Amino acid sequence: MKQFFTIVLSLMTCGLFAQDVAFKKGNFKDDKAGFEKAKANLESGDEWLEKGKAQVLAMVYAANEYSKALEFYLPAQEFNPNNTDLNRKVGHAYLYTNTPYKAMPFLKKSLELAGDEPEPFLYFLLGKAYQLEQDFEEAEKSFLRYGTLASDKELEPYKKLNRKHIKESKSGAEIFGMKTRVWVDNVKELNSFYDDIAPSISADGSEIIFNTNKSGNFDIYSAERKKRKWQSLKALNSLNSEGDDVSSSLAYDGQRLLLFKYSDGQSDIYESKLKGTEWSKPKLKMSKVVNTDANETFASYDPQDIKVYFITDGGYGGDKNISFSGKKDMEETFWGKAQSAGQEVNSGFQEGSVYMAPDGKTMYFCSQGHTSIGGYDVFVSYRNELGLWGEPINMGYPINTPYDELYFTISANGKKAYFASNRDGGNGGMDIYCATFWGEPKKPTVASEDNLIASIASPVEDTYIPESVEVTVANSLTVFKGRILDGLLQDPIEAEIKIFDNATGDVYAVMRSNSATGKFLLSLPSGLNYGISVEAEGYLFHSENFNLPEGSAYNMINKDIELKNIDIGSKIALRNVFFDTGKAEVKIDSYPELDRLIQLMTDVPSLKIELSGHTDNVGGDAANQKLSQRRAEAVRAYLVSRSVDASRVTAMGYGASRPVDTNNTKAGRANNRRTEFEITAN
Amino acid sequence: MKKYFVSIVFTIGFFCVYGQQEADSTLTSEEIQFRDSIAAINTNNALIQEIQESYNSGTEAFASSNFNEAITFFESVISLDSANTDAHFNKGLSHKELKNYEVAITDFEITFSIDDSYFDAIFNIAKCYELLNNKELALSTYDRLLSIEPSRAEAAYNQGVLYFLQKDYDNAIKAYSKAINIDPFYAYALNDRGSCYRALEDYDKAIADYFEASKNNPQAFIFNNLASAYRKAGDKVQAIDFYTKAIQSDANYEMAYNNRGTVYFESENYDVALKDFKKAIEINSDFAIALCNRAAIYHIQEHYTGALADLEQAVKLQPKNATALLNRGITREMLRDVDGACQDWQKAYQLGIEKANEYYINNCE
Repeated sequence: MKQFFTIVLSLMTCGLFAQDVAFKKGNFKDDKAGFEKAKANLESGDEWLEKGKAQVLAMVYAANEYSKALEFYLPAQEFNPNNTDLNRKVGHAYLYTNTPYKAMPFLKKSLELAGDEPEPFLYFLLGKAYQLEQDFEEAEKSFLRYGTLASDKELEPYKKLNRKHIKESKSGAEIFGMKTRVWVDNVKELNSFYDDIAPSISADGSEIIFNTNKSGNFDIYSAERKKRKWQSLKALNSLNSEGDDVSSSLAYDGQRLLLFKYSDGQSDIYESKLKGTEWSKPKLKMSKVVNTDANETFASYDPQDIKVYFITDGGYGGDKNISFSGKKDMEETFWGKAQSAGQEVNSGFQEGSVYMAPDGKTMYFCSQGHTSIGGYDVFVSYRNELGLWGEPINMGYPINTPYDELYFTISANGKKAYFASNRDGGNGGMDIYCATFWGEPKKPTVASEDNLIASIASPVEDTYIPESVEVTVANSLTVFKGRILDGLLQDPIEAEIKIFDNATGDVYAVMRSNSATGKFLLSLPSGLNYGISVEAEGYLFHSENFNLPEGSAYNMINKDIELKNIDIGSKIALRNVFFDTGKAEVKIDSYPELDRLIQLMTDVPSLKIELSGHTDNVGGDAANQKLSQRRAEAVRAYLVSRSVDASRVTAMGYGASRPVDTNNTKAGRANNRRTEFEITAN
Repeated sequence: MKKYFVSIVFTIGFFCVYGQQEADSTLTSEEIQFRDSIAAINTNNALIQEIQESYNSGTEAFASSNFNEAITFFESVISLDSANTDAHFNKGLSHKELKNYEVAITDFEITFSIDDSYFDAIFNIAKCYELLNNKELALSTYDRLLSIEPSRAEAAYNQGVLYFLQKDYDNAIKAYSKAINIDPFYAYALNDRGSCYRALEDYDKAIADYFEASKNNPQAFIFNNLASAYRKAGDKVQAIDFYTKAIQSDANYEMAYNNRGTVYFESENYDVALKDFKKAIEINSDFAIALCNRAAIYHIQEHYTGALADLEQAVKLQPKNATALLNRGITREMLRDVDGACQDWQKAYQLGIEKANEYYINNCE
């Protein structure tokens, strides 16, 4: 039972982890023909792989070889995707083509299929793949592991490379951590699905010449910059032949072009000149002293136009290095022998391209060596006062990546540069990229604001709303004039005329009538209810009322006042005793008048009076009589309440029976409506 | 300025007004004359009342901003009382409100011709000339006023303002000094003269004047000006102190917050600067300069989208704010909007910022 479970467990475990499927007949009994074909592909792929490996070890571009290998490996891979060796080889091949980012899945699968004893070289390849993914820590671990696991014999050819990659991993982490003030953008309007390389621009950045192999061979193209975009893309047909034609440097004025051509298995540097709008047939640049049997390729003008810098593999060791030559005559017939640009710039690895900046003191070049973070990187070196090139400085990320960055060229103002790269995310193959340098930080400006003028900060009110004036309401006057006369003899009397404000009882004015004529004249402004009392010694006081509300019309009253003696039967109308209509309550306004009567009663203690109420003829007699009676009684009650002996005062209502004026007019009716007192005893 | 309605014009002849009494054939000629004079007084009083009521209706209409109606009422007053200076004056004010400045000037001149002590009329003539943008006549009218009312400090002050606005700081200083001589405690004149000295970069004198002004009238904007003068003179500590005083004087004086923020910005104290700019914007969300300044902080902090939002708002509020355009160009560049950045720098250059041209040349061509 125990054995049974062990077997089952083993079978289950085998199902969970993929197993390496060797390319053996026994594993493909069902498809023998497929197996034969896959095996043949495998062998062909291996041949190309070995060629590629040899190129790599020679530090030579091997993309073609590895691409060929993939042509065979991929069909075999499709037939048997679970072979550790094949996965490793596919990954290996991808790493050295222009789509190296495709390598990792195959390499990881190879590792998984390999189980406990993977091929040591797999770690080298994984290291490169991690490097491309910018996982420099894992990359370094993988390279170190390779160095440990590989036998001396296996390691020997790759020792130098392995050390280089370990160094790249270390510097990669450091360089990626630094922020470089530059944007890098794919120049979509120039790039094709194929390899687009070697851009060179005029000093003002308005014209670009580059190369593309979309036709199968490299051809030279140009474009113009308008409205911040590259336009008018065209092939420079006068320069393009059947084979590869690769330009490398456009002169700063855009009138001359350096390019290289292959002939008889080796390349030499040529120059073409712009005649009008057409480029001339290229002629050999520099003599055969410079253009040797070695490969002279990517070249750059020097601003002084005396030297030409170029890449050649004709130097010691056969590595591609940067050299230069200077012309010896103005016609450029004779040139000096090529000289190395120096040990500072030429690493022990391949240098890919070179470009002299318009200032003549700055060199940009591409190299696999120095502090590269993987593949070719762009470096800058400055010429010192001795004329020697200084230590190269890695241009940093995002210009440099673990992929290849080559063919760097920059505008005179240093704002824009162009280069080619096979980094992930391009159109395919090598693409042309534009680096836009931010330059010095543009610090934003801040602004302050002040209210410098006080009257604007705190606006002065200079308009105002005019104020209204106090209206002196049309003081219409009522003029009351006349004479004061003795009621009996009609003699003029000098009498005192008091004018009261009935509402308050206050004396408004006091005047006297003329003693000779008895004349008087009162001006009563509207707005008050006036009580007039005319008093003279020996006479009963005379009462008048002028109720003049605000806005009353002007009036003039001319009236003689006859004063009556304090005789029995003398009647005085109390014109300043008031009642509300139909009511019998004595109004407060009446008190001053009644107080004057009380005073009279006090002054003449023997006086007895009859208070009588009178109405006009409006309304029924009975009602009028009743009302007048009640009013007379009300007045009496007031007198009595003010300590007048009740026996001295009687009250009688006469209704409308005793008019003093006509009832046909308003004024007459007003006169008839009165309270009187009559002296009944003295 | 009040003038009570006092003029009474007997333009109406005596009317024969009869009282409500029946025609009194018994009156003597003296009595008739007396009666008639009373009648005339009463008629006059009615006239006065009408004039006053029309006048008050005019003032009510003015207060309600019904200026045409006000004019009608004042004209009615004038038709009854042509020497009514207040009515002429207020009619002038009404025309001034309606922007009929020439007509207003005529009214004010009439006012003054009736009453040559009506100095407000001359003052308002000068204001009308200002509003007509006729600075020469405004200035000469103030001179005229000062010649007849030498104690009118405000006239000298207004002259100063006119000169200041024309950037004629020397004459502005003279005018303000005149105002200050009349009234040594004239805080506004002291403030403005300080601003003249500041414009002439005589910061010591500017500070002295602002300081004196602040003693007489401790308003926020004066403290703010004082702070800015210190700042111009290079004394950031005093500048911050007085901006703070301005804020203490008026907690909603957004300008002081903004200005203090710029001092902190220059000292690279960005967190504190940001707080001040935010406060300024909180008080006044349309404060374009503060929006621009806050954007500057965001830009430095690499919060470019936030910076752009503020700058978009600032430019919307003030399309000709060259600083906002310059800064927006800088932020747009970082957001990879090169076309937008180049447009902004071009505009900023056209509005006078040389730096913008440098940016344009280096990045856009």
